This record gives sequence, structure tokens and C-alpha cells, in this order.
Amino acid sequence: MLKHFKILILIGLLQACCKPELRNQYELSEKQEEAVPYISNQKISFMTNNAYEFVLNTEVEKKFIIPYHESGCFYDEYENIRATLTSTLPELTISISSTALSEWENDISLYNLELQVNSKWFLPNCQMDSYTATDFADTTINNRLYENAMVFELCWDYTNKGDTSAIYFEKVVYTKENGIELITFTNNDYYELVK
Amino acid sequence: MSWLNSIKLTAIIITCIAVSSCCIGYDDYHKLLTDEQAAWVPDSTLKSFIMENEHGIKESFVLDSFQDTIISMKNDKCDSETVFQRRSAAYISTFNNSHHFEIRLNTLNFTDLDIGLNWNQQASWDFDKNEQIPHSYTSNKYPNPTSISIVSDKTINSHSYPKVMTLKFASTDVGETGIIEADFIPLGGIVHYKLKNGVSYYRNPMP
Repeated sequence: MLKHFKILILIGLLQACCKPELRNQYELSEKQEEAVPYISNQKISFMTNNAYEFVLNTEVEKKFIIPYHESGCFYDEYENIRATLTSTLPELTISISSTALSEWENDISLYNLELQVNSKWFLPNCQMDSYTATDFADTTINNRLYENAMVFELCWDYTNKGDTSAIYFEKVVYTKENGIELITFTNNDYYELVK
Repeated sequence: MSWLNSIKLTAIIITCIAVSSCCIGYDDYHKLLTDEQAAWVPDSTLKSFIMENEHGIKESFVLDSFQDTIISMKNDKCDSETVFQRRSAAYISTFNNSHHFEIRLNTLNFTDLDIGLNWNQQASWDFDKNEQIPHSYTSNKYPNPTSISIVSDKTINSHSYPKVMTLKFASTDVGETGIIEADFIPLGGIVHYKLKNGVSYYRNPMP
């Protein structure tokens, strides 16, 4: 009995001492990369509903990340592409990213896109379930047709205490071709991509 | 008197001196805000407001925290009581950026008004002396205003106000998106601010 116990402790110690090794490296699919249609140092013009034009500057980074920290001796790396768009007036920091998926996940979600505006999370059609595949589709918003678009919504906002006189972000219309096309607010204001 | 009695007497005298000296400066202290002072912090019924710039860009702020408390502390040993008031309101942008306004009043020691702008600009005013004082943040990261003034009858964005507190910061002291001028009114809070880049935001509607 004691012998078995010692062996178990030895195995445990060996496990604890192992240096984690890279097990799998998952690369972005062509589809995922295409879904973030930005390159660094672009100056993208937007116009408000009051015809004020402002510029969003882009930074794009592609690297392998370790999104899930496993306790074992192995880890997996996932390729990630992240575009960050910033402007000072209005003060906006928009982050759009896609992270590669493992083989079994690839069947479920096609693009794995994540979008944040000023660190607020927007979800495609407010689908909280990340295992639901979301795809681009033709969409009409504000009486305008957006082809191959995904509509991201701000589904939960801790500053929103039901005060209807306050203004909140509402939706982001994102197309495969141009990325962010439209940002809408709860008071019907909007910022629109200048093409 | 025996030497033992002398020691006892000395001990009693020392104890009496020690006890009485401990209570020096522990007189009763009662200081509350006057209505006029309290009005610089908007009432908690002001849940949100909108600021709009000349380009029509709007931004709303919501009440994040509010406090109006009278604090009473009893010192049993010295039989004294300290009563003072704290009143504050903090508003944050619904756009989750660095924009915020905070006004705090405190009557402990003196009647102190502190204003915080965008988490990195601070201003302090002493109502007892009616003058600007350096804020309590020691870091150079938080610049003091070059001036704070309380003026009567000021017109802002075509609206006249009987009393306005104006803060002015040196543009060299603030960052690219820093505030160089801000106007506050009693009961209404901030009504105008001007950024270093020249853009001004006004309350919409003006209170």
C-alpha cells in the first residue's frame, strides 16, 4: 500500500515538474483572415449623422496566442489577427479579432470574430452561445442594404440602468468587404463609413 | 510625607497631565455644508445628462455614485464629538472612454471642494478661505488648474447663470484630449468644457 502511495507521489511530482511543450499550433483559415479586412496604418474616414467627418487609424497584429491555459505538460497555440481602430474625436478604440479554431471547433463557428468598442463587448446578433455558427448575410439596417454583413450588438452594458434619456452604443454593422460600416446609437445617431 | 506617598502623588499628577493633554484639540467640532455650498454637487435626481460639441457629437454621462452623509464620531475619553458632512457625485460616460466628472465636498477640517475630470485632472477649492488650494494628489500626473473662479452672471452658450465656477488649466499641463476649461453651476453640475484641441462641449439641453 505504502509502495503504491510512493509511486503515486513520484508520478505527481514528475507531472508538476514537467516543462510545458507545444502540442498543437492552429493557424487561421483563409476565411478567418479575410474576415478582418484591415492593414496597418490605414486612415479610414467615418461620418456622423451630423456630417462631421473623422478618421480612424488602424493597427493590425497577427500572432500566435495561448487563449486557454491548461495545467498539464502541453499547450496549444492559436493564431490570432487583431485590428485596432482608434480616433481621438470622438474618442473611440475599436478592436476586431479572429482567433484560429481547433479541428473540432472549425465545424461549429466559421469566423470566430470578436468585436469591442471602447472595451465593450459586442456579439453577433446577441448570440451568447459561442458554439452557434454566425455567418455573413445581406442585412437591412436603417433602410439600407448591407451585403455580406454581420450585425454585432451591445447586449449587456453595466452603465445602462434603464435611463432612456442616456445614449448608448447599439449596433455595429460589419461587412466582409469593408469591415466596420456603421455604428448606431440608441438615440438614432450613427457613425457611417465614408466610401 | 513618606517616599511611597510621594511616588503615588507624582504618578497621579503625571496621569492627570497625560489624560488632560490627550484631549487637547479634541473639542467639539460641528461643521455641515450650507445649502449654497451643497448645491455645487448636483442632487441625486440628476441621473444622467448629455454633452454635445459644435460638430453635433453627443455623449451621455450617467450617475455612477452619489453620497450625502453626515458623519458623527464620539470621543468618549475626552467627551467630545466631531460631526462633519460628505457630499459627492460622480458621472461616467456611457461610451466607456476616459471621460468622467466628479465633485466632492467635505467639511472635515475645513470646507473642501474637489473636482475630478476624466480621471486625471483635479482641482480643489477652500470654501472657508474662498480660494483655490492645491489638490491632495501628490503625483505630477494630476495637474492643478491655473485658476478657479466663482463669478456671478456668466453667459454660456447663450444661457445666463447667476453663479458659475470656472476652472482653467494650462494647455501645456494636459494631454492631447485634456480639458483646458470647465464651467460648473450650482444644482446642475458641469455645463461646458473645452478641450486642448479647441473643441467645446455644452450640455444639451442647457439646464
